Amino acid sequence: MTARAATDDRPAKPAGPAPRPDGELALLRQAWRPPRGWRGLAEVNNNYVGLLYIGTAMLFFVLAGVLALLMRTQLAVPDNDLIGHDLYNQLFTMHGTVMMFLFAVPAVEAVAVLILPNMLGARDLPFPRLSAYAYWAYAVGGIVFFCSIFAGLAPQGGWFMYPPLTSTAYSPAINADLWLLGIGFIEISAIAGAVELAVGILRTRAPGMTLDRIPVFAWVMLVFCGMVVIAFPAVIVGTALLELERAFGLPFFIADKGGDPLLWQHLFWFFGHPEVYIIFLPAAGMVSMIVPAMAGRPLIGYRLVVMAVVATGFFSLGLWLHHMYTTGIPQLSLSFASASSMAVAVPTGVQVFAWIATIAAAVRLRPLRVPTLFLLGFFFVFVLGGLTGVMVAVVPFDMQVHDTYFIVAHLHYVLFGGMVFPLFAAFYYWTPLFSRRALSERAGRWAFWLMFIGFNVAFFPMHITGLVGMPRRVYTYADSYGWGALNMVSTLGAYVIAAGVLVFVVDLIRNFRPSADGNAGNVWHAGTLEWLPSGAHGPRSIPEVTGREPLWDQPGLVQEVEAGSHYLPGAHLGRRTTLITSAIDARPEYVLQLPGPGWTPLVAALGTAGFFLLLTAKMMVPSALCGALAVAMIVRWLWDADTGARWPHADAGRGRQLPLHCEGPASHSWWATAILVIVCASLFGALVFTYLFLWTTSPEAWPAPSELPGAAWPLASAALLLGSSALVAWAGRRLARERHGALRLGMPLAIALAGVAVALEVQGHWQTGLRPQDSAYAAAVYALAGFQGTLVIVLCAIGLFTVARSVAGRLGPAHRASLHVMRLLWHYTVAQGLAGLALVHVLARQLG
Amino acid sequence: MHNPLLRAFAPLLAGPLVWAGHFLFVYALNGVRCARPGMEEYWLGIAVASWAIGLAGVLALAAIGWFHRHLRARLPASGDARFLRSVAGGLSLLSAVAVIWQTLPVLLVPACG
Repeated sequence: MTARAATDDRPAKPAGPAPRPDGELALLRQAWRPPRGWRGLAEVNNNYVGLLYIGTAMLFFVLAGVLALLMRTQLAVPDNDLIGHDLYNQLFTMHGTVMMFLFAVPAVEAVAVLILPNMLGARDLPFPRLSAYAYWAYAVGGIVFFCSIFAGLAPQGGWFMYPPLTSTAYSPAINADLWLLGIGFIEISAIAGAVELAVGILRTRAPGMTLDRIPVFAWVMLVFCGMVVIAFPAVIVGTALLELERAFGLPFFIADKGGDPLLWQHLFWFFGHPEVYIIFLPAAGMVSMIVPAMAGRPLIGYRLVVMAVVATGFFSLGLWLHHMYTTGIPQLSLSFASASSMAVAVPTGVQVFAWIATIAAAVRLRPLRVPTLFLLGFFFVFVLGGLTGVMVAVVPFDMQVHDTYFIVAHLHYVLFGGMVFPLFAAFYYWTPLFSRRALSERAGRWAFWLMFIGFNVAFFPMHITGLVGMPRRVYTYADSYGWGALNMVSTLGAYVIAAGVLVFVVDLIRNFRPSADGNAGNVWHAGTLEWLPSGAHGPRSIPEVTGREPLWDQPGLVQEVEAGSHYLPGAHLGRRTTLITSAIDARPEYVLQLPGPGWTPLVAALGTAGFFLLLTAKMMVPSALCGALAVAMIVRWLWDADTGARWPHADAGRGRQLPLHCEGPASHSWWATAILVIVCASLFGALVFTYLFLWTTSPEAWPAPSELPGAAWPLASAALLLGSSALVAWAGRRLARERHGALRLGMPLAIALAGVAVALEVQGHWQTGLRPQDSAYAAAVYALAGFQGTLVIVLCAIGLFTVARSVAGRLGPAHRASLHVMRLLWHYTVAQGLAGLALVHVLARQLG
Repeated sequence: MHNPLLRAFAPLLAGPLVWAGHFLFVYALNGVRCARPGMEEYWLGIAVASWAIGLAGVLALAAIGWFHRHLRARLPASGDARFLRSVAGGLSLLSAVAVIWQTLPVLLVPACG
């Protein structure tokens, strides 16, 4: 029975003051109570993980800021010998890398993990263990990665790590490997977070929160998730290819063998430019939440802002080339990127005008509070950064200022203005939700003015420093160039920013007292759901909403929610639960049982971090053991999922009985898998681009059709792939009739067919004498086959897991979630395999 | 379209998706023509690739218009029925502007200079 069929569609009973059963609230609190002491590390609830997440991101902000201060000190005077060039290279590489990968993206994900469930009226995100896993992998891996600088092992190639500088020939030490592997798994952690957030936004909204009532921050995070799953895979592929080149000699970027260093730039910036919007859009979403609360009126132009956010997400994917204006790409191609750069300015302008209009129509803006100050600082700084952005989007101008301090100024105006100021506004705005005390207004003003003045003193002169010719990334300069005074001013400004951050940290130490159960409350009289009185369990009951600002639109809602008159007022069977609603119109569909505290996410994260970091040090056996530990922990946590309930329905409150279980396309796990399929398709797309790009740049490395493997090889491979898909489909149909034999027999056979299909593809090329190190063509062909093989290994694990569940009695006609997940991934993998064969064999014959 | 995500988001995103397809096509086409100058052919004194880029712009605009006209009505009502329609309309308009801006350079700058 599907959830839709099982859902009771009768109108909900009006909320009444009927008293709730004795002990219901105590049971709810008991279910959500976090473990005490060191066992708290096993907590997976978003309130706990989110706070840790934000704290860790801010730690990296401070650490990367210290690196910046070291650089500014070095540059304060000409011919300074405080820091040598080698350490300076590590400093600017780590500053950029840590700020972008370990601070900015995790910080916005962290804010979302912490606040989104409350904003949506949910008790938690739908996969709490995935959040915990993503956090711990990021925290452990990030800290180890950062510590590499103390051993002189930090990467030195700049945060975008261009080959050939970072190829083995010029960077033989492991510094570059640390970046490639360290950042690789932090990106995986970001993708895990994005999957979690997207499903959360689409499926755990409060009943009645239709698409036109979603808070802008949730819309923004939905677009953010889309951008992460499309753009991040490009850099994951890029880092994998560069590591394959460094470790095994596959010459993707070596021009002598048909490779091309520009391939890296394409892959990196296809991620790198959306990355700017991945950071900026959530910050803009925070602004769209804070402005209405401080102005005391709904956001003007909500529809336009939603449209602008979605448009920005799309257009940002067409901008990567504007980081490559000086690389010799054809002029018309650059014009396409220039056109997209103009196009993306339109939706950004729409957002800015919506904020200005809302502020202009404010009913309560004065006296200016600290969040408002940070917002005004954001407007000023970000708009300036946007204007210089339009300047550098003009190709001839960019040619002049490329790689100068003008670019350093521009990118800091955009990123610091567009992300850091809104984030501090968010800290001051949302702290009362998670702390017994709000942060200090007085300290906040000091922090703002120091940061605002310091920022402009530090970075505005850099426009001029760049225009007079100072290149970025030089560790010193001669006095005779005349750049000394400008640099001294910038250095003084940097220290003033640091003083502002210090004031904020002191304010935090003095006033931030984390507490889910006794927070300071709705001090701003804001209208969105996160400001409902709440505890570790979120709101007392999950409200039914009828407007965009329910606390403004629905008088009495707070009292009704507190009285338990809305949905899920208790903890069903003493367990943690939340409500799953339909994606479009937010109708209650089923009650999702959530996991409580557990060690598996933490241990799995330690295993994942250990796997990648030990791999960097080429410690293969310990690395493999860590990888096995991670897999074992993930299997352990999945083993308990979808075990079914002895009670098919639960009292969801408001007179509704809802199922406790759902599967197929209506279930949250199916949606998460669908997003994972998009990630895989993006990875595959980046590999296809690699193949085609190398074909355009190095036709001489491409074989004549007669040198390709005979048609029998790919045909046999394709037949086996299709056969494996047919077996999986057959096994699924039989299972629906309680026939487990087909599954237990069919799955190992299907795994074997898929495995042999990959082996045939590899052998087909191998027997022609082609070796992966021969040329960029060979490397691309084996990389495609290798990715296919990796997916087949994953399928193998999931297939055996499904068989094991069948044997253990955890899989049946009513509980087939693992089968549905596997089936979706399986059919995708087969489709990808067929597309890969068509590219490498059919298209190659045409291209040849 | 039974999947609710597709039912709502495919019509909503039709305009930007056409823009993305257009961008991919014209970028790939121009990349290949410049990498393989020997394959260049001309019609009425203008390179076939340039004709194709111009035609792609026209077709993309037509597709945005067609989707806007035909899929708009299929958008599900989620709360206020006008919401998704107006967002879809705005996205189509912006996508059309972006396609025009992407097509104009073919008249203004050399293809492979």
